[in-house]
Amino acid sequence: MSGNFLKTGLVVLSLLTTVVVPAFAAPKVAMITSESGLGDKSFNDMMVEGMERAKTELGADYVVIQPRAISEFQSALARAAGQGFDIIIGSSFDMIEPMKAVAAAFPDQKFGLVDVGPEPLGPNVVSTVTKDWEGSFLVGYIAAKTTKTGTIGFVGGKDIPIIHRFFIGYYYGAMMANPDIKVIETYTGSFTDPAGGKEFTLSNINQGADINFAVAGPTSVGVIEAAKSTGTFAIGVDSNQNYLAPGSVLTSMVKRVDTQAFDMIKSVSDNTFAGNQVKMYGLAEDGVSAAMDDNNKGLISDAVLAEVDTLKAKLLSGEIVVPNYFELKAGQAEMGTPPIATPPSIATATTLAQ
Amino acid sequence: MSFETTGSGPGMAVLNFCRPAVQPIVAVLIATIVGGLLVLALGENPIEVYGLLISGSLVGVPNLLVTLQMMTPLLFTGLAVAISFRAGLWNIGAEGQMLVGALFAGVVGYAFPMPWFLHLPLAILAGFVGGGLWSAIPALLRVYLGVNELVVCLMLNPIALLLTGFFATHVFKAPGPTNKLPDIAPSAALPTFSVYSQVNAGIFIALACCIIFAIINVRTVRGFEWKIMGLSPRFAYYGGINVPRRAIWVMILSGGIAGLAGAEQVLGQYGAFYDNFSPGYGFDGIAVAMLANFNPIGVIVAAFLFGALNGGSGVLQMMTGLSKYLVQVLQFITVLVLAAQFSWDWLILRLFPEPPPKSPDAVEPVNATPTEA
Repeated sequence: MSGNFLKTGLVVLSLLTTVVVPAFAAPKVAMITSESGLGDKSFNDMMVEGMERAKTELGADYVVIQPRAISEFQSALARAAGQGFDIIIGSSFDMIEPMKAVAAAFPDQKFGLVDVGPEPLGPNVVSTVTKDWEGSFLVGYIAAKTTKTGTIGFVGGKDIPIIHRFFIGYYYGAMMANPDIKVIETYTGSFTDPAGGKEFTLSNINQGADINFAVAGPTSVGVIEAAKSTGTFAIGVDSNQNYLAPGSVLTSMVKRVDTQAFDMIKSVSDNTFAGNQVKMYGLAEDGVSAAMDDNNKGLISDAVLAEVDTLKAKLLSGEIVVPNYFELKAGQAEMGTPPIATPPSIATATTLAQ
Repeated sequence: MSFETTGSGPGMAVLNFCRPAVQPIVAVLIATIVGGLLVLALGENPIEVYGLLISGSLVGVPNLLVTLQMMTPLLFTGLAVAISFRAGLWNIGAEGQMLVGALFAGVVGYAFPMPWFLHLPLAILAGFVGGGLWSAIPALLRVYLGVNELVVCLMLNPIALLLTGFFATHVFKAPGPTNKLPDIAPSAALPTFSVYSQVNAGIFIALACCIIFAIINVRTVRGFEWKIMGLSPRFAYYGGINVPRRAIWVMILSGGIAGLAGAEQVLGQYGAFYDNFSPGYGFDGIAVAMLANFNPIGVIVAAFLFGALNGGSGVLQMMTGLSKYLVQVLQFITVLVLAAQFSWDWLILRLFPEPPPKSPDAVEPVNATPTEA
């Protein structure tokens, strides 16, 4: 009797291993790009790097679907759903609503969306938030250690909370590197105005800022141009923008959507996928980084890079906690761990837009 | 047409009836063969790829709905271009007219809430007005100052893109990271039918427009006048047609219909005006109109073909590693073959100023030459 039981058990087990394990060992992935498609040298291309990594490390199979317009997101998602993909991963803020609708219509299909907001998107969707303030902290530290004038600049797109989040991280990192540093905070008022970005940056440079951190979407291109034309440095944002002006871009604050996509694939591969989740990606999760490649080789001294590594270690151990703008209060005198005096834009403010 | 037929009889009648379709079919066939070679060079099986394109666009309700979604804007822009080209006016500004129409529809859609039976028609009308106003610029410049409308239309496209982008980025911008207007009120929305596709009630408006213009072209004096203008504006003028006046109105109608494409996108597919939303529907419309021989019913067929190509593209990308650009290449080759036909006709006319006598029904709108500036 017990022998029979064992036999049945073995048969079931072997069935499980033959049927279930291969299905998860080589996950099938559909990646849906934003409307800018492949070759954008930004999020879409970076996502493909994550796919390639999943291919080598997990044996994943992936296809890339490139909708031509935002209006095609929903049909692309819906037609991929139920086609045997273990997970369908998207990469655009504009995909939130389409993905919600499709995920509700296909409850058995797993979905992932990188670098979006903090609200969960559905029981079968996992999404991520990038802790861009930690990445900004890193490049702020590097900038303050590299500047020759003792003044660095910040060129934001719009004067809005999500951009303040970058500034606070940047400011905190700069102050930690050098408490006497001067940080000029400017906002161009637009994310799509490279000419304006250039003007504002030139004004910062005239005030002595020899490194300017561009957090302004396409406006950032103007910041980099200004750096190139004056022989100063810019810091790129979101994706690796070092290539835009080799030698003039000190580094880029990169949101590692490749890591985020890879982890999503890994979660279906090892069966740990849990929907309704928003995962935070900071330095500890390899979700942000300061881009180093051939284009900025030698611009940052080895001594500074070594310091950055110790800094990272301290951040991972919790010795350093970079302040998140959304947790600050107006008039707050100090922020973060270890505490550093808040910039005037917070210390003297009566209210903070959240 | 590139070939002449003489003679008569029932066989000839059938041939003459089919003749307008020969050129586009040949163009599509050539594009299919060249595209097949391209696929072969990429290391894929052309039969399999075309099979996927066809099944991915036509087989199954979801795929068919996506094809209809892709087809809808092309119906409007294709018709817009067809109307103007047929009347000898080279409106290649459908892209810009669509964007301005979309902006108008988007603003009316969100800013003026009212009952749906007023709101929806008004928002659609706003799209028409926006597109019409934008096309009135080249029309007036053409008629009163003799400025080539082709050049003005072309230049107005990027201006429309940047201008609407300015409104979406600075003036009416909705909060959030995307440059778009606030969402339209539900009362202005064109209803959609399925989670698979954004195809919406706008497609019925588009089809109705095509049919109405088919009737106008064939059954009304105005339609005949447009055709004569296209064939020879001077002849039309001596025939007593008020050519400048007609030209202005044809351009405004054409732009208005392109504006409807924008209204359909905003009210049916996007739910708000998005900056730079179009992947080039206005330009695809030129290809559709050429493939359709500027015939409104032909526009339906050509738009369906291009819609199916783009609809099937999604499935093709899913099933093979091929890029979205393959179907664009197919489209462009089709246009190239058609355009080559155009220049061939032009060359023949220049080289042999006295063409051999034609049978009356061989005079096709495809022979329309640009009006002299």
